[in-house]
Amino acid sequence: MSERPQDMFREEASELLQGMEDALLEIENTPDDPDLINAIFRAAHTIKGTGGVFGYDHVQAFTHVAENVLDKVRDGDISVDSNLVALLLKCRDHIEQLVESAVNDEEKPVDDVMVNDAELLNGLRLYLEGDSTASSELSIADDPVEQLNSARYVEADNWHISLRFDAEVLQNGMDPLSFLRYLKKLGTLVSVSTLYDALPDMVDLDPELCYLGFELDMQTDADKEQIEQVFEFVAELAQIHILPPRANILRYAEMINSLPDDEQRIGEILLASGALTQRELNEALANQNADADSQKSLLGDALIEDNVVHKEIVDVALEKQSKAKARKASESRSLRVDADKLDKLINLVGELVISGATTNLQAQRLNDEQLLESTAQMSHLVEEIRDNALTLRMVQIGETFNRFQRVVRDVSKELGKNIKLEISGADTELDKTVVEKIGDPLMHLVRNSMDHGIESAAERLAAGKPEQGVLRLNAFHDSGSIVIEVSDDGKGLSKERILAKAMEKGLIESGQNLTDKEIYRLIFEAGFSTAEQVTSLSGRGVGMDVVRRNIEALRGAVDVDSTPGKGSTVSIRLPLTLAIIDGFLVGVGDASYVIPLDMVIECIELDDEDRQGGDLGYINLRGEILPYLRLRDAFNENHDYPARESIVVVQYGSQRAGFVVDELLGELQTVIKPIGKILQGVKGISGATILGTGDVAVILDVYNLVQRTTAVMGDVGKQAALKDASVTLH
Amino acid sequence: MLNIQKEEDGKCSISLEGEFDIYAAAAFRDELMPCLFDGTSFVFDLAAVSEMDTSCFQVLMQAKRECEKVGKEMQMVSHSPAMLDILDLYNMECFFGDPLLMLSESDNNVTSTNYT
Repeated sequence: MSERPQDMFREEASELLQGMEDALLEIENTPDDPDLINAIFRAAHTIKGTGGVFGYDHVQAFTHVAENVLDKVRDGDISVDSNLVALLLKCRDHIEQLVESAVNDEEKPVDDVMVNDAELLNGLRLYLEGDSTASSELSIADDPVEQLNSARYVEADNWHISLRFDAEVLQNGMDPLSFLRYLKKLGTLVSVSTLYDALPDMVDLDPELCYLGFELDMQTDADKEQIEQVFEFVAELAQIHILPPRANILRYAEMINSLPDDEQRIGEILLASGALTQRELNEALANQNADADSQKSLLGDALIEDNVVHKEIVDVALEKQSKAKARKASESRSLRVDADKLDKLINLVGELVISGATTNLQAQRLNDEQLLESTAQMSHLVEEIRDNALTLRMVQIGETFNRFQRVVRDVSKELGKNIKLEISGADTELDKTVVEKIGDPLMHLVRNSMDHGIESAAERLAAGKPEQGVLRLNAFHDSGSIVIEVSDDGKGLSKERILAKAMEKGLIESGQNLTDKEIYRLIFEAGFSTAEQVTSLSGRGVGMDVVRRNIEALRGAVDVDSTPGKGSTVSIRLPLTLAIIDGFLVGVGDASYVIPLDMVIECIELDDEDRQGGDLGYINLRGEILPYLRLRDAFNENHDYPARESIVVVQYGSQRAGFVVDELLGELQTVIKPIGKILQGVKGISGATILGTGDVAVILDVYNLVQRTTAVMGDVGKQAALKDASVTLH
Repeated sequence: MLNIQKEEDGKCSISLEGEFDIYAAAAFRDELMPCLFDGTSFVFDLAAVSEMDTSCFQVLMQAKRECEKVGKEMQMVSHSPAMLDILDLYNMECFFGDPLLMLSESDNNVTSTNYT
């Protein structure tokens, strides 16, 4: 189903408003940048224009006033200061609400929006006071092509607009009436001729189709672009000709020729409306015929040959045209696709991967060489399809990051702190579903950093830091995961306060020996908050544990590091995708387990000496200590020990651990299937997958298992060994 | 909503009431059409037209054309503001040729265009 034009309007408006917001935030630093002012003005202007076409009066009325203020800013009558920027940002939000309510076909926005409307309008009018002409009509010079002096321009001083609507225009929710109404607001309609010749007999008439055409003459100070904008949304559903005042007769000839109606009929209308004189009409028609005879198909050539315009001007115009074409081409290279369709594709690819594995298995069983070859070829292709399908869902994280510009600005105003946001790694790509779910946790972290991390200006100066605090958002790829960091240069986490609070809440007992990292990690425990004061932003102790849970739900992990006086960094580690991964299949007893391949470093055999080390232990791996976990114990596989065991070395973040398994079964494309509700509480597994044989294999939650391995090791009394090892580890 | 009263001699008075937009257009045509074929003359009472858009307006236009073609009389009376508005925008007053009570706004326009 194609999109409604109204939805297109909403999308366009939200893009424009985003651009407006970006420009507004930037303009605070460079108040005199004319490009930025223009960008803001254009956004308001375009929304006003298209809002008018759709008859969204509230949108139009409000944006009009905002546009007037912006126009004065552009002329230098009003200077940009932070008050104005704050007001305009509010206006931007308000326009968004108005557009939303208009597109949803609400008769009138809800009351508090209208109260907001009145307040903002009052604010805007303060800037307009003392100015009697609150109009913003622009008088930009006409096309250079039209300005050349020549005897062959028509005498009429009006714009001529010729409209032939497609039959479906009414069904698309657009009524020619609204375009005429809007044109009336842009200027004076000198004459309107409604062409009804296309109306069929009543028996054949389908009133839901449009049969009318219009020839209009209008007086306006608006430029061609403004008039064209009126018809922007109907451009694909109508044949539109806009001829400027004193246009070249050839243009009229061209127009008459391209219209479906009878030439003489159009001629009469043009005569009657005063767009052309009889002499001009004769000339236009004659010229058209002559043109047709001599096959002068290129209008540009025709113009030059007739000495109507100089060659340079035609060149300029042609160049403009080709640029417009190039832009159109680049637009059409990207395509909006419904997210559901993509999810469906990914699901199908998942099924394809599984059935591909089944085929592979069959081929191996039959041991038919040719069959094996063709299945190998096919798996290769399936793998490529899988990778390509997954990249379709990848989006850059930059857009998510940029949203925080506004948040940081608003929150720092609210807190009375001076904070700057620095963004890096904005072009890092990750799965769209992950991007959507990461917004809220990030918001918590950013607000938290600003509220608790960064000190007030006075405190900062006293501590010998620059007055302006810095908040950084960073993203990068790291061994099959994406890492997102939120860091600040504030006072850092206070170990003493975290410890005191944790003891008070009974999270730890006194005398427990904790490393710095473990102490910091306590802030992610439920019900933990050290803020002395509960503010509107944070400090209620819900937040950080919610952040942790949200991220763990995405199979990710969150960690925090801090240096007193220098600031703290929260890093979020997330899998690149939630759908399909390359896995490493291992066997323990009868069961199969999948370890995400990106996390596997190497596989080694566990020698007999080390096997005596019991269920849990560590080995000496080339001089480094490697704690390991026997999966048969972790998952209660009570089979006899096999003749030999292997150890799979995995890495998560900076931590390494080994998993002891019975069998190494090799690489496997793994389609992640969600696990049922009953199993969701089980630690150490993150999902399940179906193997080619139809058996189910469990996907290991490496993060959880690595944590378990390293944590238990501390308790087993291997501190001495650990101490030796920590020198090499760090 | 359409209310058609037909006298024995084929004179029809048709009163229109409510919104005449694209949602009403098909029904409007279907109800009007048989009456147009049977009747001999038509008077449209437009006093209660609260909204008229292009779709329904086209039906009225075609009705007028077909009446003219076969020499039946079609008149429109007591135009509501919505009706006057669309007639004015499309500049179709002459097409229908009915006497109109001008909107006060257009009255002002007329009086204000004095030559100086």
